[in-house]
Amino acid sequence: MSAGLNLFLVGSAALLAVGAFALVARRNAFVALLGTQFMFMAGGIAFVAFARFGLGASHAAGGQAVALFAGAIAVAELAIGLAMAVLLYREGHSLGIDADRG
Amino acid sequence: MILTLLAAAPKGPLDTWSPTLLALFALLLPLIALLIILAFTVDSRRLSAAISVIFTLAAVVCALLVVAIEIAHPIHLERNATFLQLLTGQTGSASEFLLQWGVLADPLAAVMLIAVTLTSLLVQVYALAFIRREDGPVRFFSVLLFATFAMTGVTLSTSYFEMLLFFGLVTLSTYLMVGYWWQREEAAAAAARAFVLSLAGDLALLAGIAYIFFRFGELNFQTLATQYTGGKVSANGLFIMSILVFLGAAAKSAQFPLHAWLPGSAQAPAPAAALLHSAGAALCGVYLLARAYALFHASPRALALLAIAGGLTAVLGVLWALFQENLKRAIAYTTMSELGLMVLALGIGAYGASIFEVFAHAWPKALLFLAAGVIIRELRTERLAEMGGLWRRMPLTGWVMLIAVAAGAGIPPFSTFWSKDAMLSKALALRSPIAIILITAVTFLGAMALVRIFRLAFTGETARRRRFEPERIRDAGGRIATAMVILAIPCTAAGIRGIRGRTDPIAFVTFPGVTVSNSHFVAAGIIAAAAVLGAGIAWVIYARPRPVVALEPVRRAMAEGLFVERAYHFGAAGLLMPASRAAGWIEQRVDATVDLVADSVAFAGQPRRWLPDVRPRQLVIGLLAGMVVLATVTMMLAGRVIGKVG
Repeated sequence: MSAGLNLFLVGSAALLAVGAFALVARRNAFVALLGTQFMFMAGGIAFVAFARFGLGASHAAGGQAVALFAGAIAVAELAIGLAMAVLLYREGHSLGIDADRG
Repeated sequence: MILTLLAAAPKGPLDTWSPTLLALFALLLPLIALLIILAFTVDSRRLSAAISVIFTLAAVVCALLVVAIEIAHPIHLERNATFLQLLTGQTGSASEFLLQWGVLADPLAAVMLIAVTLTSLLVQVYALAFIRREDGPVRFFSVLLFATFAMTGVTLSTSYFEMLLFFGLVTLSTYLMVGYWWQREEAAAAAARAFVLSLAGDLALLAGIAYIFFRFGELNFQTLATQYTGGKVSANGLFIMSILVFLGAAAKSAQFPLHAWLPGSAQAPAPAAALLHSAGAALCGVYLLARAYALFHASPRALALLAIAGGLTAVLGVLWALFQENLKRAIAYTTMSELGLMVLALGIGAYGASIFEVFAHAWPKALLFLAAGVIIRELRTERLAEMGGLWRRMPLTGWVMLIAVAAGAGIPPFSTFWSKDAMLSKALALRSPIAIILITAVTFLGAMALVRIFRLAFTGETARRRRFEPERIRDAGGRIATAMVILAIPCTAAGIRGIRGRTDPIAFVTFPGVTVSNSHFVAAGIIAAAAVLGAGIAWVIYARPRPVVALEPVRRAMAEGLFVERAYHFGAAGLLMPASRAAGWIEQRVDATVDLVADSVAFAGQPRRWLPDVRPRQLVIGLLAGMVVLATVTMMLAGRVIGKVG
């Protein structure tokens, strides 16, 4: 199987599934945040793949630019998420998502 | 001497003595005066009035120089400059942005500019003495300056859009002037009516401008002038554009049936009414038609529309004027007939004659209103039936009124005789019997209407009323008399066509493709005979206001303007109000539906409200499930679309 569009899309879908699982199944907020990053990157990979091989090949720069923007925004979001997680930890000394905080 | 000096001066938008720069000064001076008054001298009546008069005088000087340069430079034609070019000194692409706002000083603008600024100046001199302290002179001078600025802006506009902006300012100034005595109920109602009708016209003009811009991608008058006939737009398209532009002009210039605001404008104080009817709001519609004449000239049906609407307006206006009981309303209706004549002249292709009429008609009309102001102030009534016998008591007002009546009626050698002669010459050259009959009849009846006013007010016996002593009537003096006497000069002289060439008023403003028809003696003879005959008949008929019983229903119908105003009232109450109520009901329903959608989304977006025990993880799972569903649906739809296309 040569490195075509399908391969990248399957990889992207796998990464998305891993991220979604981390978001849903793990109780730790850090890991859940990590899951969202996985999902962002999965989307970015799909964009780049389409830009390289797929329908958007005539506008290749467009797909790559979107992927770059998505990455930058993901990092910004991660920074805010981590800051919130740190604050939550200071308050309750726990990072459990399902903990009842009233 | 001065002319030679100016002729030697360099030309072009950015040079010191260019007419464009002078025109810009004439435009900005009233605005600057207004701002100074509002910012610094609101508390001082004398200082405000002095600033107003001095700045307007400066604007008049600028306007005179523009006219002189335009006469001296036959070659210097139609160059415009945008405000950006004038203010920054830049030329080139950066300063030529799309809207092309600026000033345009060509002969047409010069003629109108001098009429606007000079009338404004004389009216202000008159108002110095006429507006009493309790009427708020500072407010009055501010309103006059604002109206002057708006009208000058209309005069100097380079593009349709700039014209529309200044039309809006003119609408506002009309509202402020007509409603100046806002404590009077009729004045407030008349102001509101003038505002609404003018605004309706502005809306039509906006639609026309949008259409023109959509088709030509251009709004500059000069650039467009050569493009109408280029075949870009079909004949029907040009006709629709003409109709929309004409509607905008008709609401301003009181063409039937959009004239309903004009008689009410007599509620303005006499100086404001003089400005309004001579060179102000009522004339800017005619000016727009003249400015956009290339559009009308490209469509024969549009010219026919102008001729029909103008003729109808002229005849109806003069008939109504004959039956008015109120002095200022009677004068206002004669304005309407003159405006109709101007539009009729444009319609039959008498371009120069129409502009000449604008110029020649401004002075007698301003003078009539100023004299009427004096009469009304001394007699403390506006009803013609209560006047009479003023000739002995106020001789000066009588003389200037006589000159104004003669000039407005078209009796040779006073001003409008020459312009009406020019119009009739064109009609004779066209051999159009309807136009010939219309112009002659309107001249005849117009002379009757004006002489009737003079006869009723100045001859006979002064009506005796309770608590009124005719012995206490005093003639005008001081500044009022000065303003009126100065205005009487152009009433006599504005029409003189002795000098050939560029100083001939008709040859001064020309339109390419429209031939100037020389006046012949037949036309002059017909106009003179009609005017003198009308004046004589009116002098005999109206010797004593003797009511003719048989004519009573006609008189009442005519005095009310053939019930057009009542029809407007009925239309507003019977059609517009239910329509707006229905629209309001529909709007509420639509609004509620939109609110419902938004509220339900907001409600669904907060699951904790309707799912009290849900855990965060379940929400995340729900989120992901929703994403999957959306992605599936999107992919299926995209597959169908792409499958169809490819």
